[in-house]
Amino acid sequence: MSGLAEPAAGLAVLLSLALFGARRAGTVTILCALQALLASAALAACLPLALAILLFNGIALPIAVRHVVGRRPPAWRGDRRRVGISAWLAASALLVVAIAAAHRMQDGVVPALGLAIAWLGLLFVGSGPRGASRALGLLSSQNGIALVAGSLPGTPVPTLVAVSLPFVPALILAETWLRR
Amino acid sequence: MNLLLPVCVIAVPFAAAVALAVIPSWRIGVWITAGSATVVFLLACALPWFPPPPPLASEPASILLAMLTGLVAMLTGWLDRRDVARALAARTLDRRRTQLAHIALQITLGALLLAILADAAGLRWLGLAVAVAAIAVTMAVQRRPAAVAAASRLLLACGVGLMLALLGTALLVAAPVPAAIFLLLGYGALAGLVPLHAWLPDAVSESLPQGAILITLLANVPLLQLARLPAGLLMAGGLASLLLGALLLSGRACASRNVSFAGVAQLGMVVFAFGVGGPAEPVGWLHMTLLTLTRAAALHGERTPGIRRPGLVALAVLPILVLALIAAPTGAWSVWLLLPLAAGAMLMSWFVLDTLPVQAT
Repeated sequence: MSGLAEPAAGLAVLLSLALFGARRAGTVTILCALQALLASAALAACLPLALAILLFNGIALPIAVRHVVGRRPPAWRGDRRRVGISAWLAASALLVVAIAAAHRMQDGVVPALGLAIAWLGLLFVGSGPRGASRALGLLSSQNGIALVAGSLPGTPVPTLVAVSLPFVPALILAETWLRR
Repeated sequence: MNLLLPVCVIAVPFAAAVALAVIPSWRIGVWITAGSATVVFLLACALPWFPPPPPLASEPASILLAMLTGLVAMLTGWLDRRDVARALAARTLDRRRTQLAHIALQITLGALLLAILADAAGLRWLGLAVAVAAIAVTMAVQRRPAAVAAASRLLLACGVGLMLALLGTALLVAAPVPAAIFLLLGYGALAGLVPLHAWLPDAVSESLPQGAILITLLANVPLLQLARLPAGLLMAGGLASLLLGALLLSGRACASRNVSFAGVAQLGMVVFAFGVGGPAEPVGWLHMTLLTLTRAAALHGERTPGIRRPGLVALAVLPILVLALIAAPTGAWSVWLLLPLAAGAMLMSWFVLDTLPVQAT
């Protein structure tokens, strides 16, 4: 594992927290793309997975989200007050748990941080509004799962293949696009 | 031969999907759908004699589930030929959507068989993900607002479940205990276990007849992964589903929703049996087999009142059990085969007969 992995994964966790403060769909999309970039940097030791994350999660899906959401006002501006406090509390608790777990994991800090990103992404899906935000939350979660799988030794190849393809976020995005 | 056979079992539905994409006629499409499922069932019946080598799964539960999936798909294909004509007459479907539904059904069948026969957890996950996507298409193709909304709920609940399962799969080697929790939650969502069970009743009640039965088959596949989890987790998860499913059954609902709620409770019982382990595990698998056939029978019966199709499907239990007996005449499965057969047959008859009057009233 290169020395870049831990700072990059730490920054990716901060971007996950920033998702909950974002007001616009475009901002969330950019945050997810940046997070994928950081995740691929953290996974530089596993080059094929890093490239797949960069290509699919960092470029292809964010462009698709931009296409689906367009320049319309984001749907979740009105909902933020309702979900804000509980989401922030849950996100903070998850971060504390992840930091505590990081001290106990034998395989380093990166898998624990990846776990935190995956959970925060799912929390964003649950606490956020409908529409493209669900796909973005799942995309962020996929970045975290990729960090977990890529940084743990002995992960089987079929699992790495499954992790490298953002199948579920793409599916939810396609559903959002079809329902428009 | 040992590798070629399971590959053919998986490949036939995908090949049928390609053929259906090329041939626009819905009449030919109906025959291709039924024929493909028949070929799959016949090939799957040979699996006990030619067990798949690694990297495919050769465990008896996988082979049984492949045979069961092929059998139910075959019966569904042949028994539901008239449903397409009815849907076209009622303008629920048009010719293009019928073609799309047939393609999606074949992709669902192929993906389910891939998930059943794959030994690698990652490959199993991919198969289930494709199956979920294809099932959502079979629902959304109807263009009814309720069906589209149910497809959306299915995608979201199963999508979250798939992500949790993927997280558990990624952690499986390094951290088995957290991985088991994620796998139970994630694959439990696909199986319709609590707490992510809410999508199942809507999906079954709003789906096309063939799609509803494939949803019940989808719920079986995660059990292959769940059976490997720690006993305590399985007992807790199974008991929770059993109790909640039983509570939900006490409310008034349409027949297909009742079938779903009963399925949640019964699958909870199956998972609980896996948790108990020992001789209870094969009994759990046999209960799942009977439950699948019962649910398929009830869903057929609901849509075609007056015809004794449930009886036909109930009779279909016999080949499965006979084949299992031939495959392992002295195995632990065979010892336990007769007891659940008798109990399950009685339960099935009661359940089906009880479900039909609910629909009729």
